[in-house]
Amino acid sequence: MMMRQTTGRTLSALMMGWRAAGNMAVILLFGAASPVYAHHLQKQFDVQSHPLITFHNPSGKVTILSWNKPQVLVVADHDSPKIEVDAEQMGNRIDVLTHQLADQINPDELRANYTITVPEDAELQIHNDSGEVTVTKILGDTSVETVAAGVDAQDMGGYFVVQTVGGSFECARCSGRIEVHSISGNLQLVDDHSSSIFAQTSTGDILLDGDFLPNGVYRLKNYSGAIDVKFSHRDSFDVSATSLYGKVDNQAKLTPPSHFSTRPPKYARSLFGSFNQGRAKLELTSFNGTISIHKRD
Amino acid sequence: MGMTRCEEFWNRSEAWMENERHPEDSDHFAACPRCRALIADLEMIRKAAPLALPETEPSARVWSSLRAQLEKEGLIRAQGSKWWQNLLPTGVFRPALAGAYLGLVIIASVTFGWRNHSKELALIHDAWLDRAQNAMAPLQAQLNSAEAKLVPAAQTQNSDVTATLNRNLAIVDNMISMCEKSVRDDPQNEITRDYLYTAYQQKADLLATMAQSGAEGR
Amino acid sequence: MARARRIQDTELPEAEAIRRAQQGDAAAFERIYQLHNRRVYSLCLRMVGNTAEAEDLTQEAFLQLFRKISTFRGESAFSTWLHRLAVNVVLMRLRKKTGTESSLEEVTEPDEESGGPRKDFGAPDLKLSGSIDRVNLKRAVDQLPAGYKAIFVLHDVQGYEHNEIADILGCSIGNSKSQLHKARMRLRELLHETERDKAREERQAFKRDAAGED
Repeated sequence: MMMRQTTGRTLSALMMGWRAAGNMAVILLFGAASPVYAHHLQKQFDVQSHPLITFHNPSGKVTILSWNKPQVLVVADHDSPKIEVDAEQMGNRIDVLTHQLADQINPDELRANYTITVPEDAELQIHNDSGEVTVTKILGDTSVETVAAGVDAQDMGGYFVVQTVGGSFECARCSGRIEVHSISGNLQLVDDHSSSIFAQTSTGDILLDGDFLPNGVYRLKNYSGAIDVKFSHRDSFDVSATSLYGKVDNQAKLTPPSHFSTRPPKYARSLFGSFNQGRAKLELTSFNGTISIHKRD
Repeated sequence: MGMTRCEEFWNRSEAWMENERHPEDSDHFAACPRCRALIADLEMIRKAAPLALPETEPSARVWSSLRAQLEKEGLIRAQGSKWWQNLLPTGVFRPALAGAYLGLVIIASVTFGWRNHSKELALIHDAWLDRAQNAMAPLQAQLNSAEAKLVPAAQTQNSDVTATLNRNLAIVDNMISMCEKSVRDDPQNEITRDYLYTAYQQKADLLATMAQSGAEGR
Repeated sequence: MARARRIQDTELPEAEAIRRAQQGDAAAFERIYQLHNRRVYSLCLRMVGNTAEAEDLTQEAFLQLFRKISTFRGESAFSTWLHRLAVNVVLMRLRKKTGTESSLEEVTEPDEESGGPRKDFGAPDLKLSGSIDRVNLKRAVDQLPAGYKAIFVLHDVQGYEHNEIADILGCSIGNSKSQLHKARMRLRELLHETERDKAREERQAFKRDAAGED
């Protein structure tokens, strides 16, 4: 099992001597573009197919990338001596964890930023309370949990589950099954090619602007925000849209449905019907928000 | 050129196999040996499948190798402490959360159990309200008790997290009160009951997150 | 005492075994494995047709299950959840073998030219002979495209309902029904082909015998 490790307090070392002063000048000149942190960790692990990567961090910017090597590369940076970053291998599982070393710690001192590069078929379990999470091109099952951190995902191919209390969620060009739950986060699903999407937020808005695959099921639900669905004239779906105390605004020319699955109360704003052959299924539900089904510009 | 009767029958044979029979098909089926042969073959395949492909057991190697892998990854230990216990909130919070989840089970049974009795709903409307309110009372008490313990403890050192948790708890509480009002106004409405159930579930999840954040923040 | 404990573990109901496994109880993991290994292995075996590979996939599916068991909250049936994992593991392996990034939709909607049933109304009226030969049916199932195979095995062999299959495969109930029907239609064609081949061989053998007698 190969493992390389470089760790150190690079800033304190640099501050010694004239050479360090020169470097400091460079840092001051270019610091905004490439920040230098006091603590740096880099570890690389050899793994087999379908490795599991678990990640637990209280705060920071987390970037997960993929490559086609059977290796996991963890790069972490932070300034505070009150936390410690660590990555360990147990069999085909890599655990990445930020430890808090002091009882009293201010929010800035909790922050650690990570870039983790994993094989495409890796399975991920990510927990990052605040900051931001970016995940790109993972084909294995991925779960992301955050409290305040936004989640930005692209080209995901596996079963992708996101739970965020108040963070936003954006998913572009994803083809796997997508499930996202939030309380106040806004959810955007754009250019996706997925056959199964379930997106739920309470007060956030939801935008669905992607492909409707034949036999695909798309369920969007919120409490009070806006649900906005874009379609093109070539799409084919059965739609059921209900806003109990809000409104439904539709531009799709629908033919009447053959049956109702759940009949809403009379006072609700509801819409049922088929667009073209009705090959996909679209279920939109809101308590008092506005549901819009609009033609793509 | 139009479809022949056989083509029409074949196109609808999926429904026939599911016992959903088109009125025109029965006469054709009785008269057409080709279509009868099709259905007889499909039935025979359906019946033969479990006999021809019986379940078999993997070799003992699979469990021994799986067990070794689980031990290697630290997922099972026959004795001693469990690795994930370090990740859980401290014991004081767990009974409260267990209670909250128990409450959710009660509300779920009230919310969804009634779908099976929709025909009698009108007759026992008042009884339902009593039952629902009785079920909600312990749930509310459990959630409130969990909240009283968890919210002060959940002041994590991460101010973003604390602010987000508190803001969202207020959102969920507001949703619960609005949904409860809606359920009282229109108890037959499955959609409002579903929203109420979702709101309770969100509150329990949120309290669990607060417990975890509070425990980690200390 | 140890024996008593052992008996208890082997008779543990599934829900209790799950609860204990979530707390890391090794015996509970074994109990869950005992309860489900035949079904998972049989599914993998039918999907890949090779015992060694099916055992690897069974191990991988249970490994993924046990890694995630702490997150199981009972929203869906446990066996549905486990089968979903197993099917994903198999599909991932097949995807890797073929080198294509096929989505589940492509797997459950195979190209009709390559693997789907043909509607050949010009074919002679044929009914399969009295009973289906077990070996022939196995061979025919092996030739089905992965999506058809998964649905056929789950429904006709393992007895899952369409709503459960939809949950396992992440497709709609209608899709599950239509793919099952296409799978059975394709199997019928394959079984007819086998019967025709057999009849042809018999005719040729008869001709050879007749020529030998002359």
